[in-house]
Amino acid sequence: MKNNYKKGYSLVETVGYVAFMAIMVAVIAYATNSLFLANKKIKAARQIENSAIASLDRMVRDIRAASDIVAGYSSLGTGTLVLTIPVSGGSPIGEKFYLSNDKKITLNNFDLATQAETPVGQLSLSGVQVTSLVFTKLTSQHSNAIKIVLTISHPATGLSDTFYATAVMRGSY
Amino acid sequence: MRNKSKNKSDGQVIMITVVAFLVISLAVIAGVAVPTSNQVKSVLDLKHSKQGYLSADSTNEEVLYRLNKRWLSFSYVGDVTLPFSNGRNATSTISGMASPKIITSEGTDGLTTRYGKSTISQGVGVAFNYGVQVGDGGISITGNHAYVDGNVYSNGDVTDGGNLSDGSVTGSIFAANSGLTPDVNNESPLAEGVTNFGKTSTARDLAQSFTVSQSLPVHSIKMYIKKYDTPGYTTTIQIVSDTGGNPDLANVLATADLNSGQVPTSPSSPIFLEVVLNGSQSLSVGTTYWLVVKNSAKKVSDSYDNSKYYQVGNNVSDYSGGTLKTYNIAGAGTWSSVPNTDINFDVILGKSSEIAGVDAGGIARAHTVRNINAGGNIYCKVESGNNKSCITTEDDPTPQGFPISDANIYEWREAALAGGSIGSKSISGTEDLGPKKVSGNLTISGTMNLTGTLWVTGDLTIDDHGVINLDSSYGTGSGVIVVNGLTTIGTQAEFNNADAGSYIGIFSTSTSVSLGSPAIALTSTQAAGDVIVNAQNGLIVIGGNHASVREATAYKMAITGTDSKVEYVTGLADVDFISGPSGAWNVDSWAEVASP
Repeated sequence: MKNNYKKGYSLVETVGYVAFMAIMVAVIAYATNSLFLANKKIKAARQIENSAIASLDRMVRDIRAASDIVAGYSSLGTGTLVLTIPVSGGSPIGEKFYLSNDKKITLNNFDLATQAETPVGQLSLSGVQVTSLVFTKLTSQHSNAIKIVLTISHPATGLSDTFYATAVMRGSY
Repeated sequence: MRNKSKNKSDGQVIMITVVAFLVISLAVIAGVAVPTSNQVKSVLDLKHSKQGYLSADSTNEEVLYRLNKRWLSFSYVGDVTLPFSNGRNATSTISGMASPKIITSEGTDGLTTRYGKSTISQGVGVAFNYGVQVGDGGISITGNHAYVDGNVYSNGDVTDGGNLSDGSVTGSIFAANSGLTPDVNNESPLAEGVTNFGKTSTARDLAQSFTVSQSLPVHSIKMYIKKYDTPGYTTTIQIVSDTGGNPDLANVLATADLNSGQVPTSPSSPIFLEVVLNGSQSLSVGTTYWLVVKNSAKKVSDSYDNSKYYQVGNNVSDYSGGTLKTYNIAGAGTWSSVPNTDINFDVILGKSSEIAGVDAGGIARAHTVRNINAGGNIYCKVESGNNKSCITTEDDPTPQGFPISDANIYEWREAALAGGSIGSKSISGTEDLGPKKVSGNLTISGTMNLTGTLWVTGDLTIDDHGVINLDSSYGTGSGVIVVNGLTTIGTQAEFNNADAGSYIGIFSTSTSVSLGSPAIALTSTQAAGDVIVNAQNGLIVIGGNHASVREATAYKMAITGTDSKVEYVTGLADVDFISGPSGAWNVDSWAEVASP
């Protein structure tokens, strides 16, 4: 009869436990939150990087294959580049890289004869914006090259980065 | 009892909390680490890919550089590999016979591979100058005042045939030593023992007898030799004939001094020293000759310096072609045998070339140069009667290989045969021909339009007014006519190409070296045009007084016409030619490709 009660918790013990739990939860919540934020930043950085890689790689490869730019339809300072690419055993084809109104790098096929454009696709990823795309033509005695300066930003996190590439137009050899 | 029931569940909350915290942290860390490591991996792949591309590109550039620097010869076909490491390698394969060449390069870095391809062709430029190329048969300019407008590279003699013809070359002349044949070899076993000479008066000189298997002059000998200190006397090496079993010193067939500076001094090890001999005439097969090493400065009354002498390696009972003797100067001097012993030696036959009587506007370079006037330096080892002294410190020029191989000839014959076979043919009007095998003679007195590779098994005769046009379908490519018999090109024969840079090539397989019926007889009195004449096994005779061809290459060449002028546009490209017609390798196209 005297032994039938179980020992309960003292008030101090309970308060101690509750306080401890509260601190733990707060710490975990804070850590988890900052880790989620970091994760978001990483994702944003990846999107920026992968956009840059895809766009620059494609543009550099096509510039290397090109023989010249189509000056009348290119606006190099504002990110429009129209290339003439020779094709062995056929007539040259044209390609247009430009910065669209919604801030994406877009590729169109450009008919050199009629100037008609056929969309091919978008080179930068959807989650990012290309805030600046500038081409510069470098001319030397024997060949020409194009320098590309590309700035991509991720609107949600505010991350932004600038990328550079230069390619010689070897199709002119 | 109160305590027991409490113990088991004590600390339960904190344990759960800790475990929960651990799990959550791990999950969050994984959520960060995994995408980061994926990103790192993909960036690394990109880096490998870029490095692969650049490696392939670099190898492509290296090939073009080497071709323009003449490190690769004109018709080289093969691979160039750049010495990268750490999982990166790059190789270029070059194909195409002459020009254009296609370079395909492959760059591998890590697991990625990228390919590049470029086309290069020989064109305008000054990377190198060309020369007329002649083989072992040499070139003789016997026509009065005849000359080659450009450079000459010969594997044999360049002479005026003793004609005092006033023949000349406006550019540079190179005559390389042809056909060196090692004939006698007693190199092994090496240095079973040693033989000294010049140490004591009982063995002042030594003589080793030998026989040769070919009737050629002696080019050089080799001995396995070293010296103790520096002997103060001159040592002469001679090839002499035999008299009564001893060297016949009155009958010297070739001679040279031993350069003691080239002999290693003890305690260094001996070396096989090659001594090139001068003045050799052809030896007879099977006759005994002696290789004599003479120390002529010592007389009986000289005291011999036991510490300064030469020593050569020998072997015992291994060489059956001769014997070894040493010279004892006592009394009248006697040769005594060293039984069963022979020195380690080699006899190399062959002929060093000479330039004789043909003036050069530029450099003249050969083993022997005599009786010429040269505008540039003369490089030689033996000279007489030239307008300036030889510079003797350079090596003799090395023989050059020919641009066309048997495999090329075989390919062209197959290409011709693909068009069918006909018998002897005579063209008097205007006709297309090719690809075709002509089993017989081909005579052109009218105009032939070359539409494909031709193979003539008999003789090719282009009459005085005959014309060969290269069909426009060739574009910048070049036409080929392979001739097994004799080729005669008439006085006003004409060869017209298609697009600029193309040409008609006449490749003769004939081995005829007779002046009366040579492999190719060029009698032009006017510019023949865009034709290449190539007779790598035979003689080309240039008899007319103005042979202007695009390129002339032969085993042997004779310029016999009075006032003959030999002009050419391309030929053997050599960095040592500093003037004359020139060219360079130019890039036609250069791109990255998806697959080789």
